[in-house]
Amino acid sequence: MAALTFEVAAKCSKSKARAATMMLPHGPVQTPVFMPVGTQASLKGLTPDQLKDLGCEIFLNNTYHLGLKPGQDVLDTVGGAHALQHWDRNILTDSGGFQMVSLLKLATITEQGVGFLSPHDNTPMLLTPEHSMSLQNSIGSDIMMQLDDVVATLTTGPRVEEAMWRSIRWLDRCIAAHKKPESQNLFCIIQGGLDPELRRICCKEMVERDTPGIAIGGLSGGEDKESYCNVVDACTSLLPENKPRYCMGVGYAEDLVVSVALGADMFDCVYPTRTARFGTALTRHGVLNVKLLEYKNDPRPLEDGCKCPVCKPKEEGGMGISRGTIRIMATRDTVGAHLLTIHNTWYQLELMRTIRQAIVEDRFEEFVQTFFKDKFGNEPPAWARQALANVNIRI
Amino acid sequence: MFKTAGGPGARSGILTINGSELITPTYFASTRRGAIPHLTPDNYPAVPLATVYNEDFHEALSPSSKRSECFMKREYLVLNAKGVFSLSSHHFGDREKKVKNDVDNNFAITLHTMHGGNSHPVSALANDMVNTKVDFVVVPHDSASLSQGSRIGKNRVRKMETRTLEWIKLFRATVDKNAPGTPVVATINMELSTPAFLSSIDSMVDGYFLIPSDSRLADNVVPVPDTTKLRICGAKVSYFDMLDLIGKGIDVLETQIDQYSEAGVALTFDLNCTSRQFSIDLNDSCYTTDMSTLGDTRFAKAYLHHLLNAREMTAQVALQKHNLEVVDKFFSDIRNAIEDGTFDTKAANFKSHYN
Repeated sequence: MAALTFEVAAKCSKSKARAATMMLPHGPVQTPVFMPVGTQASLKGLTPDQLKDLGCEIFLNNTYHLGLKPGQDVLDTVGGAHALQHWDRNILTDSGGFQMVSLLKLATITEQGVGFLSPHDNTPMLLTPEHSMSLQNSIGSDIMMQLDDVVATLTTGPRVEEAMWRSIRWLDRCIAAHKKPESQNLFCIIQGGLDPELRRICCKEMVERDTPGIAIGGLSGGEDKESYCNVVDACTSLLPENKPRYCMGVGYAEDLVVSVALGADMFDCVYPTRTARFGTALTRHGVLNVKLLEYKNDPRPLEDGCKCPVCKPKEEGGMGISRGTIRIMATRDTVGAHLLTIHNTWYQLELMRTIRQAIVEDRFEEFVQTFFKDKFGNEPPAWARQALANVNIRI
Repeated sequence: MFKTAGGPGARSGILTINGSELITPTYFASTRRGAIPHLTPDNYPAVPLATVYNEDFHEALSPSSKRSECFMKREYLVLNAKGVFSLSSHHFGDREKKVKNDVDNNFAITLHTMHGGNSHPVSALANDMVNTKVDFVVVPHDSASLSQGSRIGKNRVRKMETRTLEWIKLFRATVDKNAPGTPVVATINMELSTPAFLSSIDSMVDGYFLIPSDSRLADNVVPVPDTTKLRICGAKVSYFDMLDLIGKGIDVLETQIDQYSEAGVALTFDLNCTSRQFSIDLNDSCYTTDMSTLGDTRFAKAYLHHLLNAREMTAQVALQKHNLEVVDKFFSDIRNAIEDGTFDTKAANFKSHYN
């Protein structure tokens, strides 16, 4: 029995975009959805109440980091990550495998699991599918990810196929080790690199395992956008209609819009919060490097008409903060980072809410056209034009 | 601007800012670049007063220039405060931000901007402060750079007084010309200012920003002649000393929270001594699994301990928010105690309970 229901409320009449309601143990999630990343049980400088005020229904915690701090024993004692951070909405956790491969030197992968050296004392450690499940069960996340064999996206040759089959075998071990299927949902992760045949096989195998949701992994790792779109398009065509599809590690606005058109429902990325700390604001016209001298004394909000708490005028209950003001603090004071984090997180969440509304009202194509016009003028990227044309949307 | 019944000992008063009334004793929060450190304005109820440092808004005239200009405007403040007044780091130049060649003259003052220390015309500083439309301006005083234990000569004292008087006149004239009605507060060195000097400036100012020259703060607090004018303590003092100072008639003090929040310490004291501890250090491993919430917040102590351990910025946000609430209640309790005549008793209890 899964702790998840997924009801498609509307479908785009042209593309594969769909709007749905995903019911999870800690409430509903309207999809398509962007999930901000709170690596260590905190979205960089925002309180849980502030995150809730932005309309966030689900955000990410990282298993690897929570396994180190506060540690599994603490999580078990305090009753999991929801209780610890006083967050009564949904949490998704990754498996911990990606961080090991990306952050740690000397990570080695064997059939047993991912071997690595402890960042504390350099002693050899091993993350197995069973250990990953155990950690995620302790965290209590509403959606937990299987441990997969992660290879760099641009890897070719037999290692890609090996990783795909190993990911399938590890999924079986994760399913067997998962202690709380009645309250936590395990998602599988489709692997197979950029090879369409491997992706097809992986989809078939994993769909047969009947997990509550399905992620498309192994992307957003430096591949060209055409390849990315081809893989997403191919996978969504093979995946069941009645399950959420999670495109991992996707955060650029144009990638989100195109991926929704290709039939994906869920996304996550550190980009909006990380770039905020570098002094960059996201707007519908592109990114704004607020640190630049040209914004000195600029009385305009980060984005005209933006209803985020930072940009919204004081008369309307917002903070009414200008570009000139944020420029003073950006990258110099934590308050500057917090303001940009609030704005960027709102931007991503609001983008998805707007997309959803357009799908419900069956004007998604019109939305996409306006989106690309606002951001790229008359010259949308060729990859986006092609990917969207493949699902009958002209920009 | 300010009304009080005066009299010896702790006093209550009404400070009128922007047409609204603040009851004193009260506090002001320090800012960095126009914001209370770590807090976005949606994260705390309005503080009574906040101070803004003009130097935080100085920008070099060119990448290679040592000269800078002020570009501060009231609307640049990321603040939730009922009243705002401007200060210059020069107020504390001899104690906290000392730089080499920190030399003033009658017409120029050394400011400590993010581009380093540089000489700035006093008239320009007056214009900068007044043009930012703050609720009142505090005139800097001429201060001497003293090494610890050294004494200052009479001639230097006379020179400091003369120069400070000139600067007060200049600020007063600038205010009267560009922002009539804006109160002007004089900075006074509590130990060195003579009664004659204080009398000479009293008619030009609306209050006093009191700077101690040594640690004998509480003993030197009342050389101010006019007891009905606003007295702001310009020194960073402990909460115990705050009670002493309020007992001697100080109306406004600076809240001391940043250093606690940034160190991972939550203030837990209150004037009525209902808590056992003055503060708790949430870095302590005893809080690893403590799921009781911190004060009136919804943050579990275990969560704050984790955030500190993981070096997450949200720790400072949560602690700053909490500590501000503790200080706000502390001053509210002080006002109530003055009102019902129990201040001296409660202040004494506070010291014996927490010390």
